[in-house]
Amino acid sequence: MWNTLIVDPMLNSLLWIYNLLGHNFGWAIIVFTLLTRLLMYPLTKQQLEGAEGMQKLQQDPRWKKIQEKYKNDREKLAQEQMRLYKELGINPFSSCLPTLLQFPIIIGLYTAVIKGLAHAPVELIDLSRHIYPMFNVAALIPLNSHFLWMDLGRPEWLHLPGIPFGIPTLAILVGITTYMQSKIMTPTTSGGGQQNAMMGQMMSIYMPLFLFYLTLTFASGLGLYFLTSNLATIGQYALMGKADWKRLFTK
Amino acid sequence: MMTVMERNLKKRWLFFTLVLGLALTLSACGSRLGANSWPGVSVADDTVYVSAGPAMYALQLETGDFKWAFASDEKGFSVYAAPAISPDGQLIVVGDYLGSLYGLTPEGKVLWKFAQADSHYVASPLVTADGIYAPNADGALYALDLTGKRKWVFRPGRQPLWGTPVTDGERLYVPSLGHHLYALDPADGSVVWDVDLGGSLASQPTLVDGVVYVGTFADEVVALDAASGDVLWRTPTEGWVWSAPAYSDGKLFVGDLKGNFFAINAEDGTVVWKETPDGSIVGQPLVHGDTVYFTTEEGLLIAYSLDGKPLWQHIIQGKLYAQPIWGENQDNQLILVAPYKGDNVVVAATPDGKTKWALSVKTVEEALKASDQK
Repeated sequence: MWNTLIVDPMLNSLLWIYNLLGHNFGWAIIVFTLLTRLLMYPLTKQQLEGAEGMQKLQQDPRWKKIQEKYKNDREKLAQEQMRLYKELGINPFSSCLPTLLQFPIIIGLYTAVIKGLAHAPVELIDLSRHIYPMFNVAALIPLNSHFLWMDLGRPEWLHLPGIPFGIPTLAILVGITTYMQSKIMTPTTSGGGQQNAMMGQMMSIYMPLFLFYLTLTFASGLGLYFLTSNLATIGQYALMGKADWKRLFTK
Repeated sequence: MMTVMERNLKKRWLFFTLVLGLALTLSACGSRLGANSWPGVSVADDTVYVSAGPAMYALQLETGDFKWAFASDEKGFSVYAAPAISPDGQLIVVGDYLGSLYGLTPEGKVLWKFAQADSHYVASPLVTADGIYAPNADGALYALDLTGKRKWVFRPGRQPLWGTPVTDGERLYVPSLGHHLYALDPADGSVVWDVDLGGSLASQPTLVDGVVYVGTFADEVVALDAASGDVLWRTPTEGWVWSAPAYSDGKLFVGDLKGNFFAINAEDGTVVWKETPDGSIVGQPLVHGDTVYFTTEEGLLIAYSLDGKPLWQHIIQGKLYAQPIWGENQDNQLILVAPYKGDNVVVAATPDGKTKWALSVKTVEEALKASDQK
């Protein structure tokens, strides 16, 4: 079921793009990611509006008054909050969906990349069963797993002449762009207390570190997806005029 | 009900938890090394050599008892390609998935290690009296002398080499997943001829009387003139042909991934008979006497007479991708098969299909544990 609905369509879309782009799996991942972002644009827009709405709510004097008035009655506070949501036209769940949708895409893409690049005999036998009959499989296999200096089926390390150790450039770029993305997108918290501010700071540090670790450990094809996706999101926000670059340098 | 900040907080933690879950899921999706293959088996005299993942084992042919085991201390070490044995029987060569090739004595002592390759050794090396020819998934064929010193490297491109070369003494015939079959001069690795066959070649070609026979992923069995590389004939199959055909008395025997088993006239490529048992056929068939043995993915070890009469079939737990190997000494004649994801690492069957002995995964794990504790 998972293979039929998620992995196989992704794998075959990647193969279709790969075929179209002259047998380059790196470009296939980049184009596939951009197309996915484009398809998810309405949801991203909704997420942005949801986040903006939340920010608006926090700055609304009525909300501050309500917070003060019902600081000892959590139930009433929540009821009043819902009323304000309605008044301001905010859907509090609108920002969750795009985030949740990322997960099947990431897991599906990782599986599709690993399946497609088939580094071992059993994987290649398995691949032969997941390719749609429309492709001339004999001409496609084996997929070219090399993109720039990377082997997309393996973790990436750049070895430069004169430097005795490899540099995980892709993981570093993923870490930096995840940090940038979380900083320019996260609205500054006001009135949320020290604990919440700390939590926000922790997340904008932990998430880049976590994705850095994933890219360092897993096939670099996945890291290429993270990087493209981060850059696309940053670009999207910048084009929409929603990116706040000043936040990059604030705590 | 939650306030805005509580909701934000909760959402962030939900995201973090999901990412953690994602990491765990990805870990389970596939091996980072991609070390995913079936065990390789070879036999010399009364010893069976098995490359079975974390270690290579030497076993008594008669009983399956351990003689010795070899494993490297390197993290992630795994071996799947069948160990190759030199013509004089004094050198065992095995390649691992980290890119190292080891030369061992028949007693399991490491003589040398060659670690210049960048990727897996999926195929066994070809070991002749003159040298070692080791294809690697990094796209190169490494030629070494028998002491493990590099003589030359042939690197036609980046496409992996998964098939053992074959030689007639004059030339080396090297199959590539990149669709080409190369004929090389074994002295220096220079190309004599090179043919694009339109589909991947994943196994060792068969060389008989100046003709090279290969199976390809373009759903074909192809015969080529060994001297010129000219294609003599092409016979279509219904699925990928993973292994080259086995030859006996003017006939070729070969299976495809769609589960068809063909007997083909070696002269002109016409199909003499065809059967379709249960499961994909990956390993090269084995011909001994007047019987052809082959394995299927469904765990069947099957015997046919050379004229296509089914003789018997034996169910072995696990998937059978590996080719059956003939093992013989004074007292025994055995067919050895190595299941993938079964209860046993290797099973020895008599020529009439009865199990003589089996080396269980449990026994191997206990042996590994015991050696770790030492």
